[in-house]
Amino acid sequence: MPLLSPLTEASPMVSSCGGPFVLLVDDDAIGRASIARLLDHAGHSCIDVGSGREALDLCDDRCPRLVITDLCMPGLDGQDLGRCLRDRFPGLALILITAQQLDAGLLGELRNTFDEVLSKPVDCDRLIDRVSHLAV
Amino acid sequence: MSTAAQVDGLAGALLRCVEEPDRIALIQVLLDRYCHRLRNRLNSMKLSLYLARRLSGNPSGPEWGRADSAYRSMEAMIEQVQLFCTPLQPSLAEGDLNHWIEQRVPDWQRALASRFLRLEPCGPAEALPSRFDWNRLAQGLDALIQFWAAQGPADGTIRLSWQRDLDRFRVRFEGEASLIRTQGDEENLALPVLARVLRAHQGTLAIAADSCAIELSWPTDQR
Repeated sequence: MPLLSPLTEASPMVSSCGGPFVLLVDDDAIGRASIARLLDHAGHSCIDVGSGREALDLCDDRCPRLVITDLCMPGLDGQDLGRCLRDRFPGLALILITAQQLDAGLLGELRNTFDEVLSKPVDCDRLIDRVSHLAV
Repeated sequence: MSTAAQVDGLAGALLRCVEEPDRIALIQVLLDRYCHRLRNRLNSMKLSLYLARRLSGNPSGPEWGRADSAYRSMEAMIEQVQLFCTPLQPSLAEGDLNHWIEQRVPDWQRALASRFLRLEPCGPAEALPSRFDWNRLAQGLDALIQFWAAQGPADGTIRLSWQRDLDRFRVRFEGEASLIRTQGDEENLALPVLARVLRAHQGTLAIAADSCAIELSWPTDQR
């Protein structure tokens, strides 16, 4: 059962810079800032929030081109956030980044929801490549 | 030859746990949260290093290579500790031990050449059909070679021999100096990882009293 009603159309909103943006979700402020700086340097406008709930609230108003989320977060974790967003915005690109060791079963589940699953420490070139590919 | 008496520190402690799977499971529980935090911090370091290198104006400078190398050694250490603790159910596949080693030797020789170490292979002429989890064997042996390439003896020769001896396969590395002591302060965590892989195949990793030889052996009959 969808947790939120699907929208008929997911139209990318603009960031404060006036263009489409990547939404970054991580409860770890240092990690979030590191990824945001990298994406900014690679030319991607980025809005970052510290929880899954904040991400959902933001997406109600402004739909990003791409959501990058951590897996382990208090409250709504990355997997549940991904499911909510996938139900609500079927075409939205989703990347999961995690420091958790993933067994084959969980990895398979995550790949059903997310376009890309990356382990921390991430391969920076691969992250930028996937963001460039998915955030179009 | 013995199993772990010559190995100090974390590597030695993990080696001595290989015969006690219950302790490994306990270590895994204790390490999981710790490694999770370390991976988060390492991720921030890696991203910052990547960005700083590109913004430096001289991304090919040798100091960046050293920084990358130091960073990679930390990442490898965490990966090996977690790999050691991960439950290991061997996925057995048919293969030819002789052919498998011969295929890997050129890569190992290239890796060791960076430290002026020569690897002299000496295997039998005939095929050595075997059932093994070849991916896990590769993880352990590649890590061992990479460790010697980074922290092993500064030069010299390592002889690599392999054979079938009655009902066991034996793979032996023999150096002119200790293969256990390192040039830096890094731990050789490839040893416990390799010992765990062998234990999962009813095999053993043994170290010569003078630390100049390491021998892997396992029964030919793997079911």
